[in-house]
Amino acid sequence: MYSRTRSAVCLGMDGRDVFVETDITKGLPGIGMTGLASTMVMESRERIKNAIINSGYEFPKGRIMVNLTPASLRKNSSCLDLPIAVGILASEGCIRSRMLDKWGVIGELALDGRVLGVEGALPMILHMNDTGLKGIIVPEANRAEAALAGGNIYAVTCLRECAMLISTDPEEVAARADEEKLLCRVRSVDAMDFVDADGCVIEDEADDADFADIAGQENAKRAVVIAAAGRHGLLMVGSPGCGKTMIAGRMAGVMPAMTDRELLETAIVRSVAGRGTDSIRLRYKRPFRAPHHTIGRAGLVGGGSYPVPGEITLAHNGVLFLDEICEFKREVIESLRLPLEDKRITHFRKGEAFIFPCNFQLVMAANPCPCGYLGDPDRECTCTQADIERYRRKLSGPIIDRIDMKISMEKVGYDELTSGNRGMTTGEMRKQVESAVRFASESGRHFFNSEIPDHELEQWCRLGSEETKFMNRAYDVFAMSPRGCNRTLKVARTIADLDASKDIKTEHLAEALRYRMGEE
Amino acid sequence: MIGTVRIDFESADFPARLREIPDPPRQLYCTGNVSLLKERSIGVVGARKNTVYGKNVALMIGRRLAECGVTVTSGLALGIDGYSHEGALDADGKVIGVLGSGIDHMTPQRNRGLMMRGLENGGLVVSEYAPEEAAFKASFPARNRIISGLSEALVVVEAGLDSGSLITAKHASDQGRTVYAVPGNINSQTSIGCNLLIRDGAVPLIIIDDLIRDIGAMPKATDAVNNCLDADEQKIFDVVRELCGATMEEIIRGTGFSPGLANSLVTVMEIKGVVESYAGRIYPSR
Repeated sequence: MYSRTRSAVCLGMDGRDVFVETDITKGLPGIGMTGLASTMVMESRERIKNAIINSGYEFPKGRIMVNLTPASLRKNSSCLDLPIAVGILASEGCIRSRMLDKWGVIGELALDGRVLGVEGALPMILHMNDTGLKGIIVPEANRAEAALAGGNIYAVTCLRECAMLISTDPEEVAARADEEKLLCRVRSVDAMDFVDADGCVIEDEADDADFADIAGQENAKRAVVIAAAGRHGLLMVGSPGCGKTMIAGRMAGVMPAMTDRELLETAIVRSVAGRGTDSIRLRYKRPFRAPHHTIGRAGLVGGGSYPVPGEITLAHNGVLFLDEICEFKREVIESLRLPLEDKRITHFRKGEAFIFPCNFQLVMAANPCPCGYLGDPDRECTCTQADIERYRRKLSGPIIDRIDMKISMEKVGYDELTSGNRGMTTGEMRKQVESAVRFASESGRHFFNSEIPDHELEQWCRLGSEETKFMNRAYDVFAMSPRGCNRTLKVARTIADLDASKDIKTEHLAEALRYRMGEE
Repeated sequence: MIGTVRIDFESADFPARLREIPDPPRQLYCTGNVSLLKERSIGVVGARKNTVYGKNVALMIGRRLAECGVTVTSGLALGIDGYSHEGALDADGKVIGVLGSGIDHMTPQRNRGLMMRGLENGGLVVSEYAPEEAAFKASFPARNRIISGLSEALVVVEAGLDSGSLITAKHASDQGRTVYAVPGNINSQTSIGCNLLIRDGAVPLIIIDDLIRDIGAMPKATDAVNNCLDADEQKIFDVVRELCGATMEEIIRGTGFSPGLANSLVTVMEIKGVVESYAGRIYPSR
């Protein structure tokens, strides 16, 4: 008998419809499968057979044919296990197939019939919601992500639960959702699951890294506030152990609270990366990614024959921190150019475009020289002049274009470290950033200042005559390039925003000039 | 018209530097701030037909000399002469214009505005000729000896092969003044005169401050820089000087300023040339 089960696969960051057609005819026992299934999907035939038998059903005797449509779509997900098994059971008559069209099903099967979690559940669920399915069945392991999507969703732990549920009318089930007995152990997914007794959404309480932990370094903290307010690329140069990594790790906390859209995007990225359980736990935390400098191009920007997100996408709406920037391979840094401009990256594979978002705050750190101690008052630099020159060239080449602000740091003295003087906290810094962002959008700028296109500089970064004179002077004295000049204007705009000043004043320009690249 | 005074060779007011040249003028007709004749002064001359390079260099020299309190002396001709004065006046400096005619017949007329601007800014116009005397063919080369005579050193910014500036340079060397020439590309027709001067022993002008240092004017210049610090900047400067080079953190801690204010002030001080930064630290300049 023929049956059709609705499911979805995740392609890049998007869910796509997949219809699982199943037919059992007379013939030699076995499962045939068509519809551009990858090896992973082909293997499901073996899993499904054991899962069905171990769930207490009889495996059909005849020739089973499974067709996955649309046929042109390449399918590479274990999430089709469950819908295929459901289809076989429906074709065999173990499941009433009348309601099959109202349900969407995703899930991987274990040999014993348990349903396992899948990657990319959230975009698939969102997509199935959009297509108007009345009920969606997801693995229990994906409950957290499902809660973010909302809708009429049920989390199941085994094939049997799924089979029982799918024989019923989803709308009817929804109406009687409180009658848990009926549904066996299956519970509908509700966002309220993740609200604790006091009605507060559970946040990651382990998150106690605060800027108040960093003694001294007020200058660096100021730079962090500016960088976060205008989303300016920030480069920290300083000897090892001066606190560069500590600062970068706390930067995500300084960025303004995520909008609903950002929250969803971030959760989708986490879901696609197989970290869906973090979706709830870390829901309100912006991501912080710090890939090691040995990372390859694909690891950074994503890739693979079925592309998966790279670090830049995992850092979407958060911070991407590249420590020891001079140690990264040149082509790896080069590969950042396009994504930084477009805020997304597109991979083309076999006629299919996979688009991953990557709108992140870029933070880089570098030592002043290969040994790290150039300019350090306490330790001697052991590099030769040639080493230093080579290192500097590496720093200036492809990296310089991606950085609006540079700060120099030095390790804090013992007396300052123990003075108990903690300076700005993350909360205070975030308030400053948020007020600057609000000021900018009230002035009509609904984008970050680092994103001001060059042809709109005149519009947003207009200078008075006094300021123009000052900038002219600085341009000559500091031997600046036009590009460096534009960067300074953008940073000055952000500093003016922090000051809630409509005009860019001389003091804003002067401060911005301190963060320019290419001195020394 | 502003009043013109006549200073005779015999007068005690006759500039000492001009008195010692081989062929001094018998009298000077001065309009404007006569006291400039006693001040430090450097002559800047060059081609009437200048290139952008020459223009920029002339402006730069004029500006820098003015900043350091050195008077710029020139011939008020078109091109380099004019730009050197313009640069000086932009920086509120003092200028001396030396004319090849009486002031009433000032040529070129196009630079009359510039001359008036100089006078309004406390500058001076001098001429060998009485106000009503017109220029004649030999009067322009003749006034060149006065330009170099009034100056402690002479800079030739751009000069072709037959430029009048070369005459001024010759006068200058005869009068014992140091002649500087701004080097240009060796295939540049507008710089060939300068380059030849260098070949023949003139000092190539590579760094403008060398000029000022050579006539011994630098101490006065640093005084001016220190005077230009306001109270807040002075506080930062004290920290930087005390530590012989300070990080931003040390400056912030030492002054109690906010990071924003401290950074902003440091930039202003960098531009003023009081401090400079290297490898993450701020050092006092020189």
